[in-house]
Amino acid sequence: MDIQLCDCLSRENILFEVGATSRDDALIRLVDQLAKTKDGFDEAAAGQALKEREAVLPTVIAPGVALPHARLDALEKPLVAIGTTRQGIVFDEDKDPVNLILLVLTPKIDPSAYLRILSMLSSILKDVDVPTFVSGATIDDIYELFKAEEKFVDYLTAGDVMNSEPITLLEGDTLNKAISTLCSRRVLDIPVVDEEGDLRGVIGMEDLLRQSLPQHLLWMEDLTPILRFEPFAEMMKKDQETKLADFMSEDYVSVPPDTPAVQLAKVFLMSQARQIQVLDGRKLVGVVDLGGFSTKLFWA
Amino acid sequence: MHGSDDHGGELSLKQLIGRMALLLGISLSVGFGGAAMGLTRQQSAATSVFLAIILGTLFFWNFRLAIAFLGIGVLIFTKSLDIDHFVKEASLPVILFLVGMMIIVGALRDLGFFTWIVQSIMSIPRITGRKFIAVTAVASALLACAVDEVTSIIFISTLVFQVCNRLKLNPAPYIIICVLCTNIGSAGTMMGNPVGIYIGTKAHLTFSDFIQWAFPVMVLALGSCVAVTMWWYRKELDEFDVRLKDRMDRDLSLVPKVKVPYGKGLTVLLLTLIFIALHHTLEEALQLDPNSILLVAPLACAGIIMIFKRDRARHYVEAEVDWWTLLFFMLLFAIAGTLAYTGVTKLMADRFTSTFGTDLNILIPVIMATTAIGSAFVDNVIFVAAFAPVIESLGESVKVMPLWWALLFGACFGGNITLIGSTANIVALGMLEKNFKMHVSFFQWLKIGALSALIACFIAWGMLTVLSPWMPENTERNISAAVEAEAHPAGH
Repeated sequence: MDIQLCDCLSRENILFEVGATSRDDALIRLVDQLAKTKDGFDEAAAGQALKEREAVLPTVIAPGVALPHARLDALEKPLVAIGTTRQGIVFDEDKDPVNLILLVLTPKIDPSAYLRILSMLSSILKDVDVPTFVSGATIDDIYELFKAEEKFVDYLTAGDVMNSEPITLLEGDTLNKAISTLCSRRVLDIPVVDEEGDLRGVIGMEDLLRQSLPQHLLWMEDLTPILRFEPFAEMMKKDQETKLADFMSEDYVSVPPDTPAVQLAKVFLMSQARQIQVLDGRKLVGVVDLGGFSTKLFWA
Repeated sequence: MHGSDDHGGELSLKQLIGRMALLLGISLSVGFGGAAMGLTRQQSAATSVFLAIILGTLFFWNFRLAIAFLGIGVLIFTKSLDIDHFVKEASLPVILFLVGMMIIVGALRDLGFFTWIVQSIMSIPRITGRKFIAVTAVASALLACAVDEVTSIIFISTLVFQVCNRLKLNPAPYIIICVLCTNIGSAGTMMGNPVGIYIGTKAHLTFSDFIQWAFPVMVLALGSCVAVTMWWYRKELDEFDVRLKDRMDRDLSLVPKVKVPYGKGLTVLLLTLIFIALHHTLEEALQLDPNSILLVAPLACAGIIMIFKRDRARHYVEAEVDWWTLLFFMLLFAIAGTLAYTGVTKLMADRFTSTFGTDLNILIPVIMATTAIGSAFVDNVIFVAAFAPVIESLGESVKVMPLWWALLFGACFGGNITLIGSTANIVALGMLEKNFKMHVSFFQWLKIGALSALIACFIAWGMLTVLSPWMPENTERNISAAVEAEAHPAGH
């Protein structure tokens, strides 16, 4: 389904100074407004879904901007409502109050619709300092800002869904650092780059295990001689001097940024990879993790 | 398990059609040419299909089995082969022998036997680079004698890769040394190489014949191969020595040392080997047909293993047995049998004797050189399958045992000449490519490969010439007339 922002957003669905005091109140007002202009969607279900989603993980995507959203069964096309508030509403206890609420409802049967809208909204707001803008804007300014967007996102690409600021390590980093990064950041794979930002390899949790258990130990079915992890001692003894370049894996899966996102789904299944490296030439521009990708697609 | 099908890569449709046309063109023109020169229709068809199989393995390594399937179809359609002879010539006992050995190897891996070998090599006291490579190469050759060359090279390559990885060395030269020695070692017993058991069956040679005549020749040839390859790669070995010493001085080991419970694995292997070694004695004591116990010994041992390891039995049969290759061998043997059945090999043998006479001093080097050069470019099993009936025919006029050994050594040592000469080469280079993304060029291999093969063949030639007067005459060997007759079917 082709989506253009101006088709989803009509002027009366922009609530200038929404007048709510709490997050849930703001969500209900915006959904009410959408229900007035659009027949045939379950207002109560939408409100409920939005509130639950925010409660699990608030959707503050940038300073002063929240992007509450829900996927609904009986919806023909995506709907967007916008609310502004100069004084700000707290969406996330740990973050600044929100001045701009972009509420998005999408049909459940189109998992990528939300991501496409998200991509369009992000590109609009890329250079906008939202709190300053909202404090001086009129309703016309806001409508024009979003209306002006001519960009048409036909389909999502790897560049749209990737994490463009992944955790990386340098070739010269030690095993010790890799262990602490892998474990403390709770990731399974970390791209290894050189000084120029070119991808040189990937280090995954299995590489740590493989460094300790060489192939010929895997031939044994009976593991009694190593029940106390004896072979691991050697690796740990020199974790400060072993460089990542010595044992990172070089068979990673990579795609260019303009790869269609659906292709990523295929790559994940075909290659059994957990992380796809997005490369512009040799340069690492981002990564797509299986977890993040599926979450964005089905739930986020 | 053997992963030998990585060779050749992907073919584009155009290449595929081009090669197929070339294959059909050559084999059909030889077929029609043969018919014009007086071969019968059946003889032409058999020759033509056999040639297609040879070309098929050269052009389409990845689907040589498909070519073999089609070849059998052609032979049946042209009445060159009937089903009865197909079944008989497929050498089922040889196939089952290989199945049994592959199952035993799977169990040995599970039991940590190969881990133990690797660990034993690594715990040699005061190790140096040269010592390590020499021991590894010899171990690889002897392991090839005990199990088979492909299994041996898989385990030995893994060790070499790990050590080179730790020492940050390019593994290619060391892998080449080990593979060349493994090919030499595979001639030592009938388990070393499928051609060993095939020749053993065709020539009614026993395990002790191999130990008495082939093993000593192999040991000498192996010595020469270790020496010449280590001289050839002396610079690389210097570097190995330096890196290893540096690492040892810093008190860093090469692989984690683990005490492996090797008892069970070693027992299984030794019992199997003893069973095989005693086959001739048992056959005589029980008045069984020659080599009947030899061929079922691995199956019986595999059966016992599968009773003890019931939960893994299915895995052994399905994953450890290289069915793809075995099916190819079956069909190949049947097609080669057709050459004998239609009388083509008789014609070849007559031509052979009229050209080279019946003097062993000429026949030994000629057969060895022909087989070696042939095996360098096509699968040595194909070459041996084609040559075996010729030698059987020669056996009517000359003392045949030295010729069988010449065939064996030519086929095994000739595998060293090119990097596609034996399955072990292909497997080891495939692993090198996969793990280190490294290619060995055809000529890089050819130089040292041909040199080592040449020296080994000279040694074998000399030894066979010296030994042949002591080898038993055809009539002295205890082969019943019935078996002899069966081995020489009359032409149509």
